[in-house]
Amino acid sequence: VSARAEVDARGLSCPLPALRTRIALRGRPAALEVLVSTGAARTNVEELLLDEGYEVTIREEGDDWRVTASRGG
Amino acid sequence: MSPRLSRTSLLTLSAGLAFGAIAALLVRAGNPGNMGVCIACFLRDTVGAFGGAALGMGGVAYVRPEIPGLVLGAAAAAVAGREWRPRGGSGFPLRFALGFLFMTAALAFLGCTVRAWLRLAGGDLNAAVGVAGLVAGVGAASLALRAGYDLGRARTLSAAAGLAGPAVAIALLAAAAIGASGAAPKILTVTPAGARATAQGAVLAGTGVLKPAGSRLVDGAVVATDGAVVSDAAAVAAAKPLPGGRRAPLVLSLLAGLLLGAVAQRTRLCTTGGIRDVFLARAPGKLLGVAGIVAGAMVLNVALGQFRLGFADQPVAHTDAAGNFVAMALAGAAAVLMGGCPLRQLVMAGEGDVDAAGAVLGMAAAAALAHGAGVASTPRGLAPLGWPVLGACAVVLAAIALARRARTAAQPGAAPSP
Repeated sequence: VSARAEVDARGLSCPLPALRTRIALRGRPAALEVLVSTGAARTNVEELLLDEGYEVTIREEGDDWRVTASRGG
Repeated sequence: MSPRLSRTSLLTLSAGLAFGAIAALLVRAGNPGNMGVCIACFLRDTVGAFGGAALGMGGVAYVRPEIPGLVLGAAAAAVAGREWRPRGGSGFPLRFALGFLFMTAALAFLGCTVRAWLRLAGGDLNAAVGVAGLVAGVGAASLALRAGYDLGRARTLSAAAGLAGPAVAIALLAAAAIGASGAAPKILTVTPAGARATAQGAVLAGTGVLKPAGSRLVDGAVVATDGAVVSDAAAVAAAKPLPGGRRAPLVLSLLAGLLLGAVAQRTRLCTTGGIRDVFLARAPGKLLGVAGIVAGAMVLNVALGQFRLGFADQPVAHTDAAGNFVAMALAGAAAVLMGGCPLRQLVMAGEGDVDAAGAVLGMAAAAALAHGAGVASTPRGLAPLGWPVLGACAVVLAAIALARRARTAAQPGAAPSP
């Protein structure tokens, strides 16, 4: 079990951003950051993280988005 | 189910319902049967408008306004949602090849993954066989994804590159307008509205004979200039409409395309992603999109008297079950390997994705070759070269899947450590 994980999914085709996020979730991290570069990837990753019970915030970073997930209280 | 999940599900379902319903209405307005929207058929018709008789495409020649509509609707929605991103450089040549393979398989089935669902919604049971093949093909390609298949990362490109797709769409709209105006520049072929063809190949429009040139109608039969009967009266009476001659009014087609392109961009509607996610993650949420397409189109089809259950005599379809299964399996696999169904490829091209535009270009190239080379099916069944070509497609698809898996596995850090 890791405390924090990061996935760089920038530029990856559908469904790899969600697939790699899912792989990172196997370690049951308390927090996770995913970098994505398309709207569809952002939506898919956000949906997955919300389904897994994380609290999700999204921030635009240049041309990309940083999806930050953390275990809520 | 949390309130959030039901909202997302509702959006996906609504997008599908709108898509299916509008597709059924486009058939009512004049588009070919169970072909309110078909990305493969409509790209093929658009290519036919530029290739014409030289490519054996005189019967499928019409710049379908739905195609540029979908691209531009998606582009507008992407700009409005601050998601327009010029990008590319992720396996452009392979995506072109995958688009080519997708189209070749789709023209053997007689429809893309979008039309497979619409055919089902019209009661065409051959499409049920096709959808079974689609599930098999998507499942096989999902195995490749699990094994590390990856076409590589796209990177940000200049705005000019990202505008390539929308610019081509605008040029196509101009061509559609010129075609509709009645002006007939040499580069543009338009299948006459309502044109019909007999099984022997005679083409009729209204009460006149277009092909063979110089022939005329005598006592209901088509008679050539030398007096030989080309098609007897019974064949003329049974002449079937040519797909290119069946179309909704230009403005309606365009508006439908714009609306559906915007909806598909916002909701990420995909005709293969739902099945894929079930294989990959047991996540059935996206299936609501295709469920909506089928339900929306079916309800409207029944209401408009367009629903007919059965295998035989379905519009623009053949009854070769093995051919339908295998062709849709290959189309489904190609769609997953290129990162989304052809509807998604058009939408992404609108979002500024040059690689997706490459896949669409590959589809168009295959369409240009398929008819002249005797690869595209007809309502009578697979073309003589149908099976060998489908076999070749399967081999190339498998090679691409394996090659890109091996290469990815060799890259350090490509597979995140658990």
